[in-house]
Amino acid sequence: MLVIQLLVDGFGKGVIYASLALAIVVCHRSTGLINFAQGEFATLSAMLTVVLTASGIPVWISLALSVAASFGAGALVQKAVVRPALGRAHVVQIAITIGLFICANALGNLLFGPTPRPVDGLFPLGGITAGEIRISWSLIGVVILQALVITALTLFFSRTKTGLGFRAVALAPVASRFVGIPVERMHMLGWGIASALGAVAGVSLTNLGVYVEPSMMTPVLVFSLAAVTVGGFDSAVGAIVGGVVMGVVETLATSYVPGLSGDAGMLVSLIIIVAILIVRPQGIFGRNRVSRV
Amino acid sequence: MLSYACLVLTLGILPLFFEPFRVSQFTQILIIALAVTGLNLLTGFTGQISVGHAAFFGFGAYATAVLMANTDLAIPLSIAAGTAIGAAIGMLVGLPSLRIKGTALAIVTLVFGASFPSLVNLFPEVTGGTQGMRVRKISAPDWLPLASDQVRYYVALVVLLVIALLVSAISRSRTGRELKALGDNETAAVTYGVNAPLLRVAVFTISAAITALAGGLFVVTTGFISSTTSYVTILGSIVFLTALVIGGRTILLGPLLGSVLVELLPTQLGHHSPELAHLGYGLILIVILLIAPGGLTGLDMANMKSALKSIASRPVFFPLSSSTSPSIKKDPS
Amino acid sequence: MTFSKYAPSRHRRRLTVVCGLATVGLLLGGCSARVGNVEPPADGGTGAEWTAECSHYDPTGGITDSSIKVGTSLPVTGPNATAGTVRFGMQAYFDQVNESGGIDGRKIDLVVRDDAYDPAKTTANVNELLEKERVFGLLGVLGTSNVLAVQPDLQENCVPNLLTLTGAPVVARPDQTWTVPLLPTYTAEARSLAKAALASGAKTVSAISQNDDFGRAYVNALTEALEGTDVTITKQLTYDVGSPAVDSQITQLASDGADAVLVAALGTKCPQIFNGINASGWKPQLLAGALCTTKGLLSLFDPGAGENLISTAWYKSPSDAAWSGDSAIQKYRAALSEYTPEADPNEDFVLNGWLLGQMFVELLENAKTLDRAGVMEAARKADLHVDTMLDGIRFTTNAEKFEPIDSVQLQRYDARSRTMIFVDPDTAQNLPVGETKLTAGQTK
Repeated sequence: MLVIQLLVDGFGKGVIYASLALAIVVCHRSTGLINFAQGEFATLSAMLTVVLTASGIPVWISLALSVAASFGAGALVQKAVVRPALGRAHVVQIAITIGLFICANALGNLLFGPTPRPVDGLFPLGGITAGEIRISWSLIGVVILQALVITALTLFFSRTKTGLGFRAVALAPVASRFVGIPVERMHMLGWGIASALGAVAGVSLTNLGVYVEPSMMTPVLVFSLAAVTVGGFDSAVGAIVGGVVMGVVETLATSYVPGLSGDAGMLVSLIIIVAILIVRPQGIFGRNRVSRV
Repeated sequence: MLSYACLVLTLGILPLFFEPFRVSQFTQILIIALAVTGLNLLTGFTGQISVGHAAFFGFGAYATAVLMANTDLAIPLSIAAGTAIGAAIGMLVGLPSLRIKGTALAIVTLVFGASFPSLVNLFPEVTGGTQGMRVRKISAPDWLPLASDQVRYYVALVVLLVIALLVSAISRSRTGRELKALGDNETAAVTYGVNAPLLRVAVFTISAAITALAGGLFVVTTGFISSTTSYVTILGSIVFLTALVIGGRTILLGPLLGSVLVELLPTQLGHHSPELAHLGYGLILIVILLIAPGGLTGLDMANMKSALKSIASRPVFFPLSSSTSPSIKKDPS
Repeated sequence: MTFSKYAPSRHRRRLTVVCGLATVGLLLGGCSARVGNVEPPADGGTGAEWTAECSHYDPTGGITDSSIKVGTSLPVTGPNATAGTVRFGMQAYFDQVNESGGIDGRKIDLVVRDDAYDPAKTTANVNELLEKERVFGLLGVLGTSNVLAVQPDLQENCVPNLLTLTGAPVVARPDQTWTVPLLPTYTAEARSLAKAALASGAKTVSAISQNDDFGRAYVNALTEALEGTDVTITKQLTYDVGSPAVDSQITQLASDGADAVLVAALGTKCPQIFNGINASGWKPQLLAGALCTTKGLLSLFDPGAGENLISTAWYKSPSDAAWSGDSAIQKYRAALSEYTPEADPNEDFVLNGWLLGQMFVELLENAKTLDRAGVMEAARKADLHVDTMLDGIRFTTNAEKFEPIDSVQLQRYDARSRTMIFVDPDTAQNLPVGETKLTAGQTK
């Protein structure tokens, strides 16, 4: 059944969008910024993974090292570049993340080069066949990996002291400081976790057959941003649901609507997010913010 | 104002002293400055970020190009039609802006801008798709003792100055004040009688129209447009936004200065190593944003000193409000 | 958010000073003002047939007693930057030629400009190359829209636009006498692949192509070539170059299940598509162009993917072990390691650049007079072969022929040995190693 197979394909794409969207949400919860460079950071992490595996390190260990490095780099970038801009106009903060986008993209071109390279598979080749539907091991593996990541993240935020501190800072920064929670460190933590999530997203993408090259994540970023907008900026659930929905709808629309070829997917997502936001501007799972005038 | 007269004079005599390729480069800078002026009306006045203005540029460019290729419409009329179409699209985009605000709207503009090249590629028989289409360029009329490249420059300059005057008039008018009030605090502005829906749609319309006008001028001065031209892709949106932020939100000087830097900096840096050039450009952008948050034209010693101090020292208690995530609340700056 | 509509007064004061100085400086600096539409008169020179319609023609621009300066505009950064590595091959060849004295004692000076695949930048680069660098001509401008953007100006000013790196047929039009492309056109390749489809006995063909002029040219040529035969074209799908995955397209094509499939793709999309087809269980006759099957891309195939794939070739790929003992390739490798060691010698694009350099030098040597019209005439009445081309491939142009390389060699991929084997286009049988048999040229 063609439709089922397309649904499977769309789900696979959607999981990738969801994983980057999750990174964007974590970043936003901690510092209130949408990080437009999240995709490029993920690309750099994927590039690092390629370089590590090329020098002989087994791929899962390379991934772990890459995730750790991304965590550190994300935290550092927050401290060095984003923190000084706190309190500035929103335009300026957004523009700074765009500046980071440019720098990360250039760094990728400079250090990795423009030639695309594959990452060794995290999962075995082949897959399972149910009737006419083929589901590759990579797809199953990516979904399980993502589920594990989400579980770990949820446990971290609800059970550990640091996690709770992080959430406190997101909700009430001034009060958190009074209670002794290191606010700045929580911000760094947020960016670090977001970058680590991005690393997982980047490597997951490569396991769906995409090769690592500069700007590899830029189209994913656009869909992930759309997913986050539709799901609500602070909602992890929204990010995941939004991402999967984006992937599935894009795949089905470009396959079944005559005249819409493969690259019209972005147009489709544009229509979706405008439609959803007009009905519910804070996103499906977003919170309605009330502010004093 | 002596300073502006002086600026106009200098800009006016430039093409007489440089070779054609330089003059063409300057013309392109003027056109980008015009596009940024359009963005300024939206972002500078009302604070709404748009990361998709390249789409308006593209609509203006393609509308003009397609009209000139398929009809006998003269250049000025084709450009006017392109501007009108840009305005119409701007109005369409302005409508969702009544419900969607802030960062969410910024992302919508991003997706809108990112999908423009695919829209062009959906109709390759009309637009040429990635192959592009050639457009007749403005050429010097016989009775004018100027070369064609100089004439194109002057056309761009005159249009830029006229639009700057227009924006200046808007800014000084009641509408301008209402726009700024809208940007500062919409709820409060409404209680003062500002017609928010009308203004929001209007500002998108005019902002889009100005950037579309820039797009139309672009095709009749460079003679070619394709979906691979960076100014109609997401890269173009980034260029416009960064030019605005670097230059500052003044009416003429900010966009002009920003466009000069954004156009010349990467090429100048790139003569040695193009890859390093982009990295350098990104770093310079971040540095300028950190030490000169109002853009270069908003810069002065006191401003810069306080910016540097705030970087060096730990953030104090109260200006932490921006760290919570407001989509409706506006940041004090 | 503070919004100041006018720049603060301290800025305005500084602005006045700067402007005043600039104005006075320009006026007094002795720079003669450029007023009036003064252009040097057209000069016939040799080959008046080429220069009759020039707006102004400078026969020896870029040529001095000691050098010939040429320029190129390529993507060094941005999309397609891999293709931009042709510049290394060109540079290495020219360095080698210069070391042995150059052309009649003139060294070839190559000026490279980055356009990031943006036709607006290509235009700006070409303007700068002509006016500031004063190059003799353009070599190897890369990309269809990029060439189209600058072609009319180069034609009008009678500047050679030689050996462009695009296979789009539209750049090889008869009225563009000052442009000569290098690559075999997409239509020529697709026609050869259509032949292969017929020879393989397929009754239905589907297509997956890039959503740009390249993809469209391929699919159109395939459709045209199969007209009147009993082969039907079933599904035709496209994908956007920027989008990462092509799963849904492959799923649809697999469900359609045609006997053969044309893959009009470039770069890493190729192995992605072949691996996807392999995973889907569908086993069509695979057809793809030369750029889809470089050795680097072949190494990205999953085991079993791409079996019996048929593609085209016209030069000796440096990554193919069959040519490791070939003297032309060995000379190429030696020169690269000496002059441009930062280049990857196994990259097909680098070899294309070297080949381009060889072609240009041949044109210079064949020109009756060493000026723009002379070299252009040599390019328009050419019959050339350089040693990095496959045996039998010739670059030929004349008054009716504007696509110089129009015959190619078909080759088949053997998944077990992971190599390409040349095949006979009529019988689809493997040829003995080292032998070539080209598809017939199409005269237009």
